[in-house]
Amino acid sequence: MKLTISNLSKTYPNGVMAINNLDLQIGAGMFALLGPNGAGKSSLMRTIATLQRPDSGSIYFNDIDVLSNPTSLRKVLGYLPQEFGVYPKISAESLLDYFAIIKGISSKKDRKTIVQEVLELTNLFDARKKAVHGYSGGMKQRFGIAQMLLNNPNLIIVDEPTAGLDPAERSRFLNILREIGASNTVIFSTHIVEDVKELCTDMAIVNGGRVLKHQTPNASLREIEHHIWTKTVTHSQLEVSELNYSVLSSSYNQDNTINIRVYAEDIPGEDFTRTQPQLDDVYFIALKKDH
Amino acid sequence: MFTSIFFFEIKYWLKQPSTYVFMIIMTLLGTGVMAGYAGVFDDAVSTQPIPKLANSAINIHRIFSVFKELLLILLPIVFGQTIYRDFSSGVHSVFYSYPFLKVNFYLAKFLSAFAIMVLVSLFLGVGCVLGTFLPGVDANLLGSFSLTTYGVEYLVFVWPNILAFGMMIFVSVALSRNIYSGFVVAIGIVVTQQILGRLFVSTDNMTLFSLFDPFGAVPLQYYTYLWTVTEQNTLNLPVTGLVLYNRLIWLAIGVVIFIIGYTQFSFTQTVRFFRWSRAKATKVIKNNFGSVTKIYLPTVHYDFSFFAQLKSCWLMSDADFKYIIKSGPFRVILVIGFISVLFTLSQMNPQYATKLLPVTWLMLLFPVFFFLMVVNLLTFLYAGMLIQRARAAKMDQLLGSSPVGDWVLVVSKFFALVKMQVVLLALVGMAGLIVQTVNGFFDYNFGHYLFHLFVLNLLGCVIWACLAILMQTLFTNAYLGLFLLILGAVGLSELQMLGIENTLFRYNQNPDPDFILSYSDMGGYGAGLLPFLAFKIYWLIGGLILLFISWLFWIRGVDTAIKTRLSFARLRMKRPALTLFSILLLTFISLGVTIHYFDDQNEGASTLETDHDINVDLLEAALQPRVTDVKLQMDIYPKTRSFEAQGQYILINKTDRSLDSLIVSLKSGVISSYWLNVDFQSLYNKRDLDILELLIPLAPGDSLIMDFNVKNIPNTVFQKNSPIEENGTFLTSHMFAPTIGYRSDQFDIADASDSSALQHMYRSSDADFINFEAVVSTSSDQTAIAPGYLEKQWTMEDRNYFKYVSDSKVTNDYVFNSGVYDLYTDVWRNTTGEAVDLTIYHHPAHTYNLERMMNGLKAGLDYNSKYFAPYQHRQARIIEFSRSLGNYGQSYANTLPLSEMSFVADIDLSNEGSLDKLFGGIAHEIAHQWWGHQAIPAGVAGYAMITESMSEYVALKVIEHEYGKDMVRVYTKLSLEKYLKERGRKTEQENPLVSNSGQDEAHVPYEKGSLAMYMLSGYLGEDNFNAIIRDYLSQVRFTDAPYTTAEEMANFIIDRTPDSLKYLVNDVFKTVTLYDNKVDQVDVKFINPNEYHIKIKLDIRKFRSGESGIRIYSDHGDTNAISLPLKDYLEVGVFANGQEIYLKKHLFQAVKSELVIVTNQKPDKVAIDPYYKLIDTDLKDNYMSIQ
Repeated sequence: MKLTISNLSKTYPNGVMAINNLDLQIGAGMFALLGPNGAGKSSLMRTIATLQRPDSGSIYFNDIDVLSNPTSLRKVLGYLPQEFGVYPKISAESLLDYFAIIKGISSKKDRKTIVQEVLELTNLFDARKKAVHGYSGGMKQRFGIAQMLLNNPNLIIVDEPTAGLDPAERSRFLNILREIGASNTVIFSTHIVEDVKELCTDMAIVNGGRVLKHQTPNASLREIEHHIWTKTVTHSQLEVSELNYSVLSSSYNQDNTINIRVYAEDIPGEDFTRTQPQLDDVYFIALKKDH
Repeated sequence: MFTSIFFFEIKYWLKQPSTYVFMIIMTLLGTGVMAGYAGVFDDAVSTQPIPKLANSAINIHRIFSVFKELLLILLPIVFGQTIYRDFSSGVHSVFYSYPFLKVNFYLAKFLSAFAIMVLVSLFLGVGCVLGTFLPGVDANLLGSFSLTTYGVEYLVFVWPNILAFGMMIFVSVALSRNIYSGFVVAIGIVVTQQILGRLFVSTDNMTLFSLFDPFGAVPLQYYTYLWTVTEQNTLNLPVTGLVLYNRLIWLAIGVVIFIIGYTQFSFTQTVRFFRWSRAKATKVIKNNFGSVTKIYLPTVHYDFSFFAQLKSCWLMSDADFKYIIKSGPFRVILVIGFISVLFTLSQMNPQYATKLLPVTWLMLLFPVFFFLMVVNLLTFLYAGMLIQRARAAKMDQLLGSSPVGDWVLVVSKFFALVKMQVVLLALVGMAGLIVQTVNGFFDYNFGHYLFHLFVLNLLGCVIWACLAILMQTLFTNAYLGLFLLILGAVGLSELQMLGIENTLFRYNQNPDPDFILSYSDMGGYGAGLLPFLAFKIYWLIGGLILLFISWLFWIRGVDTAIKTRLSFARLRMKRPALTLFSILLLTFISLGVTIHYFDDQNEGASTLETDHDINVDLLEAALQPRVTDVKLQMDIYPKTRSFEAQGQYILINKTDRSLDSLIVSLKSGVISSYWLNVDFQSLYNKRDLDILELLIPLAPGDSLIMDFNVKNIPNTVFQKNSPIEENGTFLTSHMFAPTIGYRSDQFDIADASDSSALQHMYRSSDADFINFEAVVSTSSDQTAIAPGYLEKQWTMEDRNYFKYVSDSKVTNDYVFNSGVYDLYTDVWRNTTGEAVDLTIYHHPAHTYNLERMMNGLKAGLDYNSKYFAPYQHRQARIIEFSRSLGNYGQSYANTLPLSEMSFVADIDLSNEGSLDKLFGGIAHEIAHQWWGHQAIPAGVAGYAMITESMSEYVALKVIEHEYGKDMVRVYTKLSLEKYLKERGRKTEQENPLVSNSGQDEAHVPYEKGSLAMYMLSGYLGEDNFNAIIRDYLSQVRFTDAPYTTAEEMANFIIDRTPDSLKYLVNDVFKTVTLYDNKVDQVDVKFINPNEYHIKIKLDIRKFRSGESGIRIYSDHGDTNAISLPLKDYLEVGVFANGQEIYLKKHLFQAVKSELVIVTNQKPDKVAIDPYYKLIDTDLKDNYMSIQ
């Protein structure tokens, strides 16, 4: 199970370079794409999902040449875009049946069985007669998963799936994803670093269409262990601190003082204390280096 | 705030490329059509004495009318999109929370769209003006430019229409939040107009309906339909009365809808629209707890084989099809369409002169004009909706990343469209069956319904569907796609104007521009079916190629940039696809080449050059022997649609000189050969003309024998070269028999003053009366008929033979019929008591009108033999022929071939104002046995007065005697209207009856001639008039050359007319005289319940008609005259409760006059010339109602 992306580039007609000579290898398991808005995550995912043509480069999934033989990839692909809609006035059950047809299940009985199964897996069975159009955000995302499962995919691409979900929905969604990810390749993009920590076996931080860092979460944490320092400052000191230190993040305390986190080989000042590295730190370090 | 929204919208539209596309198209269309009217595409300069001017007000209106539907279709696009954009982009939830004042928003949106439409529509006018400056414009055809003309057109018609319809469309989209409801309204408007157009039957009901014509065309027609060319060229459009009311009514309807729409419109987010049922409100509570166990998906079989994909394709098309039939626009249009088809089929305004029985082919014929248009429109519309469907629902990425093949997506949309078309066409069949059933007509022909709708019609629709898929795939804007498709569909028929004449290059067109695939109960679709199908299959393959191209450029995913689409196309154009494409392309090209080859083959056969490099006048004047005996053996082969004939002429030199030459004219379109029993040598030989020198000159009184063989040019795959039908053949001698002597043009009628032409009768130029006998053979299931009495009948080699011999004087033109017939017989007694056998040979199923026909036949025989002369034969036969050969009847010696159309005529006399045209029509045909066969005019201008005017007069008279004067009034009014209408179309000077050739102006001998005879009969008294006619007939009956003329007949009548009425006979026969009579004012004085004094003021004007219908009020060039001098008798009538209570002729000697009539009943109507006996240019003001 291996997705290999080489020298991938894509420039939009309006001049924006969404993917810039990108190389990436992704194995089995959960893979997180981290990056700020506009980093090129969605473009990359759409390109892998055969919905967009790159200007140059190549993508292989196992031995499938994705760019010249998109249909082969689509047979094993599950894709959930960041935002999607469905035909109005059609129930979840009929819509899933429609997707099952599209995904090549030509026997009516087979379709019925699998639709039933995915409805139950995603906890939508009770709402199966309702129009998906009227579902809440979380239910709609689950419907997205349900349709994705219909072709029993090996490569799953989900684009910011947890945005806008309430905590319960979010955890349920991630659980399903984790299950699938156990034996397949799951790529999912997010800017919620916490999601990554809970789930992912591998991750890449991208910005400006390039991979800034590609490492497992654990390894990257290990790398900066002992190099993250923290200090409490007042509002007026913040600017000075940012000039003097490599401030990764800052957060307010209840008393309106600010905690800053700083990356440094050795203790940057006497009032700093060492602290446990977090994935956020990795993310910010990567972005900072890019500037 | 109003202004900011308004200008925001205007700016939006001015930034849209589609706005400019519309402007450019409008300009081009205006330019093109104007150029057409101004003669840019004509080769020669116009030689018409008074041409129809391109810049005249009515012509400008005509041009704008051509595009009124196109402008209408733009309205939903512009008005609809203006308001719909907010919903479709989803900004409305944000937008509508802004503190706009509703009124500002509503008005600004509407007015901005209106402004854009006004702007776009202006370009049509700009195009028209540009068209007049093109090189090649014929200045004679142009007329002068007038800004007022355009101003009136825009202010009275174009912009009020945009305003009124725009309001309706705007409201429907605003309230339904669905742009397609705008299209529904637009189609509804067109349907309304179509229905009203059909209702406009005559002046009787025109007033009411003209008020409700949405486009304002009918009221305008009301004032202008009898305009002569001069009037058309000079007059401005009448912006008064009905036209104004019509405009105000529609504007009012628009405003009312607009205001109601305003009160209903709100910024709330849910749709307010009519729903058939309301969804039950149920709570959806999600389950917030519960965790995931292991995922075990059941094993199912994934099948991506071709057949599995095809099955998916079918199932997916089901989903799309369901979407179509559940959508509002479809349902509304379906209902409207169904009603309009039912309406059309009920023949409120019959397309043919007579209403027809609801036979199956008729049920299928009418919807073709209108309903196929609706089917195509829906195809264009839904192609766009289906292709944009996933993207509009934002489901395109889910679909795009699924493993379904691209072609499955394309083809499933195509299938869905075809399914929709099948449903729509089935509806036409259903409507037909309903109409048949309601009318108690149970001779259903299901096979014909199925074949016509689901093979012939569906093929055409499917081919359009392919183009629709392509266009809607290429253009991501569905409205632009729709507009271009409509434009293309309309424009294809105009391509020949641009020089693309070959239909092989015109998408989905028929073999040639005037090709009509007509169906006959007798002969089926005939020879046209094969070429029709060949072209359809050719274009179907063309359509598949378009589908292929659609697939290449199909958008899958999110990127619509051209670069990406090309990259996808390259990716898709791989091996198996490439092979398929090559096969399609090769098939398409080779089919095209084959069709072209067969077409070409035919071209050589049908064009015969008849340019002769010899002195034509000398040739025409050459004395020739006359045909006295004709013997024929005619073999008809219905299955192969061909014939072969062997014949023999005996020619006698009837002159007093020796003749040393013989001129033989052969018919074009057949293969002929001949032999003489004397020695000759050929002097000149050119395909259809031989000049022979007789080596021993033919002495006066001597004869020679000419034998000949004729057969049709062999039929090709695509072209039938013979008039033979599979069933219901009608073959006349003019189509095949060689003639003696030369006529440069057999349709060219000699001038009345040409004395040498008096030697030839109008029916043939090489014989006087002849002896005729013929043996006709045909296939074993058919009966063949020729003029004469059946002497012998036998069967040989599985073919039927019939021998017919004439024993009385017949003319040298004859006819052969062959078909599968049933016989309907009767006997009629001649004045001498001799029995005359009457037979109707009819298609077995066509038994509907036999009795009526028989009665007409007898009535005609009775009337003519009572008043004029005995019938000369012992039999009379009516023979049905296929409607593929025409819709008319002809009269040969005791033989009346009559089109199938008469046999399925629906004569229903239960309604007031109905007319038994069939009864009269048969009487007309049999009357020709006198008027044409006993009185035989010379072949000079005016001849049709003796043949047609008299026969039509007899028809009027038998109707009068059978049904009464009221029915005659219906008939004469129709005739008069037809005459006036036809006359208005003519630019040439109309010739009076005595010198009218009848060519291109059949309305003169038929309508005007019969009215003239009928009027004289009324003025002189029927018995008196008929006695004069009898005396005339007895003088000319069966006389040889020189033959009689209309001049002779007219003079004969004038001589025997009292002096006071001589002017009248002179007016109708020798001049073109018209009246414009009207009742000015009526006052009734009540004396007592039994005495009323009616004071009537009348206006009587009489004039002669000049070129282009110009009115001439003086025979001496007095330009101030307002009428010719009057000393005329006109009927004045008074009516009460529909009954005539007073009718008398009064002498009028001045234009203005006043008279007092005393009646003993309370009158309610007064009329001048109430029975339309005189030719009156304005029928509307002859009657006046009394308040």
